[in-house]
Amino acid sequence: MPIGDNSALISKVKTAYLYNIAKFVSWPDDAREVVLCLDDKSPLYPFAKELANKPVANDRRLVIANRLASHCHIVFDDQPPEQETALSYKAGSWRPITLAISDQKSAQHEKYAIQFFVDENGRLQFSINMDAITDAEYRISSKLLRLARNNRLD
Amino acid sequence: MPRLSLSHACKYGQLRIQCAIFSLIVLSANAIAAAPSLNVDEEVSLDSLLTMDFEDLIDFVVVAPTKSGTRLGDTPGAVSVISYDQIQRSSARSIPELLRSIPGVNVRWNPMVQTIDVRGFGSNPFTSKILILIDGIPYNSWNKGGFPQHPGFDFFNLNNVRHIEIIRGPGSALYGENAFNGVINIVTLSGDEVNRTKIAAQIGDRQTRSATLTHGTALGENASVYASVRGLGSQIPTELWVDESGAIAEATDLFVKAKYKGLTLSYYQLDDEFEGFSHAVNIPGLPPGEFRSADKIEQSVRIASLKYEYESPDESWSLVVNGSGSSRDGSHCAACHSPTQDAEFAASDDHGYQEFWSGHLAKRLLGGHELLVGLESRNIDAGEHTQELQNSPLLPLAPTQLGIVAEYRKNAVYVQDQFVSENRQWRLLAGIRYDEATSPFLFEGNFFPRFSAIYQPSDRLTFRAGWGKAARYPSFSELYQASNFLNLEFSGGHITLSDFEPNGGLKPEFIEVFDLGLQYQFNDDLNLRLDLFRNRVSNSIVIAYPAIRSENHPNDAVVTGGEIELRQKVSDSLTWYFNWSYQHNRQIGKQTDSAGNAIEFTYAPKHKINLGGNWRHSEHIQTTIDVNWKDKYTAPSFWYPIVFGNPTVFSLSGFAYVNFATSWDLPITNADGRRNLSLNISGRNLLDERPYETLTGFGGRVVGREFYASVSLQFN
Repeated sequence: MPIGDNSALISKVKTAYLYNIAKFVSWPDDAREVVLCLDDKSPLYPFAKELANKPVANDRRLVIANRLASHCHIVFDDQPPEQETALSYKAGSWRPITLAISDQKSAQHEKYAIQFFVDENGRLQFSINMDAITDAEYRISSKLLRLARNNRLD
Repeated sequence: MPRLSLSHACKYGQLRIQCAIFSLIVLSANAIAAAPSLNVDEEVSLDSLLTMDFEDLIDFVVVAPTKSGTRLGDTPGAVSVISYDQIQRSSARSIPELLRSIPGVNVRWNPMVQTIDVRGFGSNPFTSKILILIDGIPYNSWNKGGFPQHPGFDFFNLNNVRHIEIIRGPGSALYGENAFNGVINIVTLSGDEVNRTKIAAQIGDRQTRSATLTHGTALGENASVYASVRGLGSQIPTELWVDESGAIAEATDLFVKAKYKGLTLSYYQLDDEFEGFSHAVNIPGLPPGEFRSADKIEQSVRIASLKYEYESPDESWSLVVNGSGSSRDGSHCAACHSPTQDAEFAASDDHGYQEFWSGHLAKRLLGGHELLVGLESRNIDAGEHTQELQNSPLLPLAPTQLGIVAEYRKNAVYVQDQFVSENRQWRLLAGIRYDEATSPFLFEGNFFPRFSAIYQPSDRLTFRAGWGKAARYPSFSELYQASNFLNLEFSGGHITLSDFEPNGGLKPEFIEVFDLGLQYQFNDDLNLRLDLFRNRVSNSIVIAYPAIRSENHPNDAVVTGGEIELRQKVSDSLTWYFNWSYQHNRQIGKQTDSAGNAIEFTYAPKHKINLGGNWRHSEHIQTTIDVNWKDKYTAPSFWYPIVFGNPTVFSLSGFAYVNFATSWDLPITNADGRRNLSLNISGRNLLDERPYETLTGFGGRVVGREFYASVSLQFN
């Protein structure tokens, strides 16, 4: 009879989302890599490491780095606001080139460009904050915009 | 949020420890041709997910939808889940049959129903030490303590079940009485999860034939409806019903469930009618005769429930309110045991009702705490079952005039605090429930505490420790049943061989449990689980044979043991599991009951082993095999001279049931290219074992090997 770890499943699916998002966003810099930054204590981290060197948009390769790295193209934030430490980011301090993604429904959610959430049917969804991406230096593809469930922020 | 928070917590990656100990639903997309909403596969690899198109990935279900979740999963303990997929591919035709493969769970047929117990012992046939919930609402019989249906094959149509959650261990801190050795929660399907129409028909041994129609559909984004109706004919698989009497039962059941946003309404009705049974009896010194039931034994059970769930937009608090009413009409116990005592006993009568209300509020607090506070109110009434209580069928006296309490209300309050450490490695839970004295007074007030700690040093390893107390309140039958137990009929009349003896002073039995647990995930495909427990039971309710009288035994009973389980996904087409359960029983003290008996640890085999696997031959064919082996056990000493002509108590032999089920999606496709027609062949007890699962005076053996075939057609 099954005894499983649901958090592992969710972490895997979120990791797959991050990979897919990286495939549908383009960055203007000349880097050969897309750097995905997350906390090494994050439950996604062991799975995210498996994404290293996988191809993403524009013939780039994905690289995994610590959340506090200075040249992140994508930051994934899964620490609840009450658990952020003095060393963690404050929302809104990222560079315009950084796509910030969260799965925490916190008061700072408007600072993140993409938010993960689970809908009523148990499916992981994501919403895109159009205000957050307006002045960003990265470009989100139309396909990704279509797949977003933006009614969650209403 | 503690009560709902399992799926909530999992969805945000919080409380991963809680998720780590809760068994999730495993569903297969192939089991439901057109229902991606049931596609949850906890064993899927990251590589598989990475190869999916993003559109398909978005359709992938990661958690049981919150609206169908219940607080059961929030109770840290030895929890197992039987998933929808496992139900579909199993050879089991009823919930008790499914439970035979769960570690620590013991299931046995008796002449009336299948008895379910967890880490327990004793001859009570009514599953009264397990709390049965349907979508989180208690369903135990107020007259018998266990299933409301008796005789009966099952207590809820398996076709309507989404998954089943089983907690091994006490649950009174949240649920009150009857959550003594364990809790079983049946979670039902919803229309938006099913989203199809299905017709199914089955034939098989024991003159079995059934037809089922189910339909579920989403109604926009916020509503859904599910409905199911079944007609069934079959026989209880013991010698008494099959070989000696050829008695057939026919049943119909209906289930309807409607949801709109946070509101859920459901209605379940079961009506069944059993042909009577008979058994020839020749007792030296008495005229030859027979033991027989009424010509017809019938019942009707109805449950209506309402649930409302709300979660604040910032998910800082949530509210759940439940209400239900259930009732049973039907033949009296004496219709089976002694219909000649009074013609009224064979008639269908009102057997009372239960009204149940509960509500809880959960709030996330600072510092990693989550607080849950709940209230519950329950009103139960024995109805005309009082005719069998205090031997009063012909007396138009009210229960109070008879000196019995046949209706009472009981209120309860419970509170629970969960703390999760900042690094999310520790989770501590403290809860307590207070059940006030019944009104009118029958049982005094009681506290039920529970503490547990979970430590997860890594994603792969989880440790758990817990302590708790629970109680089981005596049923009305145990307190007051006074009708004849066995009447021998002969041409000149009848002779009463034994009577039920009431015991109005019967007290609740209590259990104190210490448990430890460990879970290790070797990798994505291999999981190990170990659970250890020590239970101490006081005031154990026993039957003081040869009188059919329930008493609180003066000795305490201690049950210690453990369960170990391994599960592995060998490949995309092959999974297997193995579990082994062990329990050791002993009593503290040298006193006896009023009949001079020590506690008899009956129907409590030391070892149980289950082994099984599923092999997917191809995309459309799969086979599941289960082996359920049970070690030797003893029965009440009372029955040995009657059955074997020998008063010496010896162990009844252990036995193994080997079962299989093969399902084939037939190569007939619809316009969308999907195969909607399925054939299922199953066999149970292939070794043709015929044990005395329950030893009774006659016809107690299980009838042996059986085969079934079913076909189902789905419309998207």
